[in-house]
Amino acid sequence: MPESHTMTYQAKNLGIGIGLRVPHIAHIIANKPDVDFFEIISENYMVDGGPPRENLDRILEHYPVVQHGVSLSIASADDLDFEYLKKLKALCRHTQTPWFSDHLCWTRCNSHNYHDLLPIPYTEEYADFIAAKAKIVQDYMEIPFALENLSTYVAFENSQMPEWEFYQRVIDKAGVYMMFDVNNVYVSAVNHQFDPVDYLKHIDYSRVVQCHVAGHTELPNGTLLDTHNDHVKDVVWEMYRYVYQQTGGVSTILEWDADFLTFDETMAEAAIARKFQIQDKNVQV
Amino acid sequence: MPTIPPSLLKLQQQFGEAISTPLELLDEDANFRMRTEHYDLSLVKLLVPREDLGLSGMDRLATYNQQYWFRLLSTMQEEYPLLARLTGPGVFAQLVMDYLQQFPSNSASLRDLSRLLVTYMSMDSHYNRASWVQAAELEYLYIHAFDAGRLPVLDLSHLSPEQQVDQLALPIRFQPDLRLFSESWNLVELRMLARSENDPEGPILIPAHAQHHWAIYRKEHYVTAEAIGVFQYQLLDALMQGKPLEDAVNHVVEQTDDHGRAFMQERLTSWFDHWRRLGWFAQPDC
Repeated sequence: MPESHTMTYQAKNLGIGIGLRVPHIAHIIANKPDVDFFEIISENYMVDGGPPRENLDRILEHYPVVQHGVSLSIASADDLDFEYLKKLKALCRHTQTPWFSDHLCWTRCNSHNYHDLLPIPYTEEYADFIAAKAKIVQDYMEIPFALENLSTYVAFENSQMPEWEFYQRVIDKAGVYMMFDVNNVYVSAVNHQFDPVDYLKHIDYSRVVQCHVAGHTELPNGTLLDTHNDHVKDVVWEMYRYVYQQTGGVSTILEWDADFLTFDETMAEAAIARKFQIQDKNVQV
Repeated sequence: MPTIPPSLLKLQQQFGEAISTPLELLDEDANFRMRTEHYDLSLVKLLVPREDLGLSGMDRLATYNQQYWFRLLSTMQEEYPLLARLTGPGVFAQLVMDYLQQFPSNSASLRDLSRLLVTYMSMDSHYNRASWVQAAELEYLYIHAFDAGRLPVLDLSHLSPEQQVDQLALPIRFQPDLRLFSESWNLVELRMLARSENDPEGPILIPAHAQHHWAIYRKEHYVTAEAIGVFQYQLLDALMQGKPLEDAVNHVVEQTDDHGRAFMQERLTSWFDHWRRLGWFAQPDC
């Protein structure tokens, strides 16, 4: 693992996978379908035992698994929760995940867990605070740590910079990596009226270890919600084409978390990514 | 650890308070409205409006408020299908909001959300109806059993008959998922019905008085309830409290008459054989 941001970690491109979700597990275990890799939600497996852990072990016998978390709360004013990190580290060692990721957000304040990915203003002070915490996390975990850009439904008047600058600042200062969620860029761009192309053009893609694509929902009031319950929109695929090109090829996960399709239908949606994985230096967004 | 920016702590306290503001229920079907008037205006002023969509900062904050409660309510509906049907959707939603206001989640896992629900219901005069509390106890046992670890199953086959006798003189170790449940209403039966109908907004279920004893445990990948008689319940209860077999049997025998004693003696071996086949006993030395 790199010890500072000046070193570059060459993440292996694991191919195209999907988020491992309960409705598909029996099918996967019974049929062992051809899938490059799966992504698990870490917190669902940080338990003593039971079917989730037993199923995970059966999946691990046949597939690479990467871990993605939702409760690290790196942007929280609360201290880091080392009990949580201890369990997370044990699970990472068990799964042999090459990296682990979580969101550039907060989920907890004063020990109250809100079970949601919550936004903060984009200020230098907050970026530097979060970067310091992220560095501690990566050092403790001893494997590369990737932060995911958030989809947000509010913006703050006291933000000092655009989201991409804030995101890049945290990544660079901490020496950590990017879990780049293409759909989240689009959702936030629509919600906050910025040009997603501007966002994409300001990212240092050498820091990206993995991509997410997903569908979203439009509320009657015009707000886009990152619901992961629908097909990936064409505009998001087009953005993904550019991102994939810029990264030089990176592991890609389709997230689908509600209104589930069959396993085969979900994999077919994920496989669409292949059409956009074009190594052509003339690709424009 | 880096120094916490005081403004960040204040912002997150305000934001957290706003998005966890309880919804106002408008009817018994759990239709609701967000109480945006309770949001801290100094927070709302920090939020950028979307004038083109007619959305104020308050409206945008309400999206998080709605998402917060929808996520928690749907999680609780999934974990407590029986309780939701005993109370009806409106009361259930109010119960969940009242409970989580009193005992906000302090765990990274939604599986821990209801850890103190029974405690809360027992303390609150609105919700301490005995059948509701007992239903909540039952449904928490299902959560516990699903997530519990699994120990190696007891195997006496490699022991000599003498060693087997010695082994049985020691306290028996049970699988962590196994729990006993004594019901005063037909709650296990109603829970199965609620699960099969899978409609949290279905008609309210009325429990009937019935005294039954159950062992709740995980079988393969699902949790199930095994009906047990009162002697089995008492015996298992004594064993699970750590009494060695002989002491546990004596404890139960002391509470019954000659007929009960004869009944127990006749069936004791078959009960143990059945429990062993169900995998309830764990290796003592692991």
